[in-house]
Amino acid sequence: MDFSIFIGGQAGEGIKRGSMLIGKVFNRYGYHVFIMNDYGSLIRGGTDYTEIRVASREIHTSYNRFDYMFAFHRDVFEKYRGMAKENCFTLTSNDFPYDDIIKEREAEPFMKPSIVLGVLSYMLRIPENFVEGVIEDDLKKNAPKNIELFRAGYKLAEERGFNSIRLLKGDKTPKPLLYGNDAIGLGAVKGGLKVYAAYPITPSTTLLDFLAKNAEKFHIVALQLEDEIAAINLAIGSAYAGVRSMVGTSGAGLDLMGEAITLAGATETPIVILDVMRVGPSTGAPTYTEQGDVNLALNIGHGEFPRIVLAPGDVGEAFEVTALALRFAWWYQTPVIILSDKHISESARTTEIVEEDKAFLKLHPKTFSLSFSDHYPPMVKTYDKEIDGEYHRYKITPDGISPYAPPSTPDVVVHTNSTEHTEEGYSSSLPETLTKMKEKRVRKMKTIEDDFKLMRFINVFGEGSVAVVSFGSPKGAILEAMENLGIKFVQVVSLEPFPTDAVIEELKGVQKIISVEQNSFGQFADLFERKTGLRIDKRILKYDGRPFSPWALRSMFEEVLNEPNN
Amino acid sequence: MNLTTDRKIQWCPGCGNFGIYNALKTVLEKAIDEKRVKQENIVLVSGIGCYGYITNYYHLNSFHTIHGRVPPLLTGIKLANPELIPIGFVGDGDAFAEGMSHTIHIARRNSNAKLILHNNGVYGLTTGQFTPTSPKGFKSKSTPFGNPENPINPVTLMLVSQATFVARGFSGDIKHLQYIFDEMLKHRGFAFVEVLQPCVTFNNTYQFYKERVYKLEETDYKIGDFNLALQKSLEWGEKIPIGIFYRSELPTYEDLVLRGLDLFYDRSVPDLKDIVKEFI
Repeated sequence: MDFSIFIGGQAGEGIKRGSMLIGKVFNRYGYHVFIMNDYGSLIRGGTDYTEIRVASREIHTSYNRFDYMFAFHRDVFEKYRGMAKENCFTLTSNDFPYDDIIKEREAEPFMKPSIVLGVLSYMLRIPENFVEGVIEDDLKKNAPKNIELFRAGYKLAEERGFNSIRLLKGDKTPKPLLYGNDAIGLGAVKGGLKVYAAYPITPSTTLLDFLAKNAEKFHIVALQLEDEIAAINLAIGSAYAGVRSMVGTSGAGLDLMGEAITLAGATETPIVILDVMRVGPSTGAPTYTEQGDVNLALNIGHGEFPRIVLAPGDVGEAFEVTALALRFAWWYQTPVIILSDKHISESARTTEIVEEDKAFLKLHPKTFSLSFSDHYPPMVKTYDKEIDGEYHRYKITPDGISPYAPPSTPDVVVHTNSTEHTEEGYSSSLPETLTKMKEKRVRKMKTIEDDFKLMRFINVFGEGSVAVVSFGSPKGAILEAMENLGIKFVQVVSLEPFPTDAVIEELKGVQKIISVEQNSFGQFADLFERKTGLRIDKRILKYDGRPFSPWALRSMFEEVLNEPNN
Repeated sequence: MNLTTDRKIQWCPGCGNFGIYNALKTVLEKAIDEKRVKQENIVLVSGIGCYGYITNYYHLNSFHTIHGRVPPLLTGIKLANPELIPIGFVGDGDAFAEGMSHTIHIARRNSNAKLILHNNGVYGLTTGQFTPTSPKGFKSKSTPFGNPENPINPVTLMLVSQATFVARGFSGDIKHLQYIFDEMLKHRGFAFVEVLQPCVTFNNTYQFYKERVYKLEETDYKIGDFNLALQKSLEWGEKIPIGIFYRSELPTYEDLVLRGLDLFYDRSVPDLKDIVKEFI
């Protein structure tokens, strides 16, 4: 069982919120759910839609073809009717009185999806009282009106004698149905986040909203500042003062953060920067997905400083990677960039919140045997007067990482400095100071590279003489597209440092390499070739702002498989 | 208490920075000696300009940051640990050119931090270009035909931005500056102090200010009336008022944002298992 439901309408008709409710019903009914929101950059009108994909087996992305299409306006149906599967059930405002039902019951237009839920529940014979229970749980005070609408939809479907089949209750235990940005927020909290600062920008804004709404519960503050520049400088101030902080933005906002990222690199201040990529350049297509910021993340900021760039491939990894990013930022005292994209951050899926990767913890057993909720500052090379002597912020050490102390530490003076500095943190541009400090940061980058070699930071799926390499959100479509094709898939999680050795080892004996990414330059493919010295035989690029479809990708893989070997 | 460091101070002889540096040093040393503040809780933040090296010369926690971004850093520090006393130094370029919006926003937020403006009306470090506070017609290296822009009045701007403490001093009157810095330190909320200072090399205004400044506290001026403060702030010409223009006590940004949360000492991480249940 694997089917996709399309709900289309205008902004303001509750499509996003309603799809979450419907997703919850199927989740609790024992099915895997993936929700993809396709919407325009406006508040009213337009032709938005949501795909709710429901399956008895684990699914990883939207299908982008539909078994059911519900449209509150004719134009949204016309626009997307080409994506209907054969025998797709369609119900548009021309043949169903969505508006009248709302009007008659004095309900709001944003409640329309509850009518759809009624029709669906009739057609799949999901018990009414079960669905009503979910509505009550989910919508709280708005539940009674929505239950009324649900019943109206159900009854009208029954009266009209719509075809129905019995969807048996699935055997999957319900899992959290999380948007990528929710998972990033939870991961950050897990990683000890205390200050989140941002300026609203799609598709990262929902993270600001999520953290602000739950701030009390999470023991954090989530702040909106006057711009991205203020956000990251505030976060750097908080990190300097001793608490874990993070900023979130999208490409255009990342551009603005450049100078502060080099500031964090030069001053060795721990900071996590989330970039939820969308279609660029410039304003681009703000509500659509792309992976166009690879080169930006790898290169943003003038001068040379150690950095880490991590790219989660799905909602679950978004949680894990964010928690790790905060740990890395503090352990290595340097900026860490997380590359998410609209398709991860604003899509929801049923996912397990897994415990974070133990590899890093094993690497530094002493530090990580401490529970970081009980020790301060958490998981950082803490200054110890007896070992380190007088406090020097930029003390030269073999691994390039200096002992950390926050201001307010008695008998300690912390001189943090954006100008090149002595070990004490005093400004100096003497040639020997410049050499010493640059070499310190080079050693730190080397330490990070060595640690990352041990942690690998790739995921490997399947076996075959043809391999797919990719990163980020295409992971989902690739996993489904490669099924039973005899293909190997190597997903790179850490773009900087790049897991060169691990990738080369995994690709030994492979005859052909295909790269998959969502941009027009092949930024990941270029990086891959530069770092591994291996040639990519086929670059699959997509740059229309819409996520990969597993079936489309599958035929592209088949094409490569069917090419005669030379 | 002596807050001096072993760094050699590298400003031109007669630079207005010395007056600011010494006045604040005396005030902070006294406050530490009298146990009004703990030395380890003071954090100095500076931006970019000749004055920016000032953090090298105090034996105090410091963050010498980039041009224009001092205010958000101050707020971040105060939020993370409200026991800290963040004091920012900015130049006229930091405050009103590159970082203009931050200066206005920190004021209207009433973030509990101090901001000292080194206002010399010229970019000294880049050897003499005009700034947002240079007078109209000012001839500088980048305005050989005279500055075409109208200058910003820092005191007026901070008043209308709702700063809860607004004062002006003169680097040539250290005793008076000490009085202002001391009041600044006592203020709970955002405190802004403009210091008129000469740049002896590129814009020597020492004599100009010396002849014109007069002290508000030596007149019948009453602190606390906003309209009066606004009116007073516009006085600029034959006479230039220095002293405290305005002061009021209001809840700070940190009070309103933290609502009792302690980010620095409370390290508990909530149990996510309970939280994710809501998503099922």
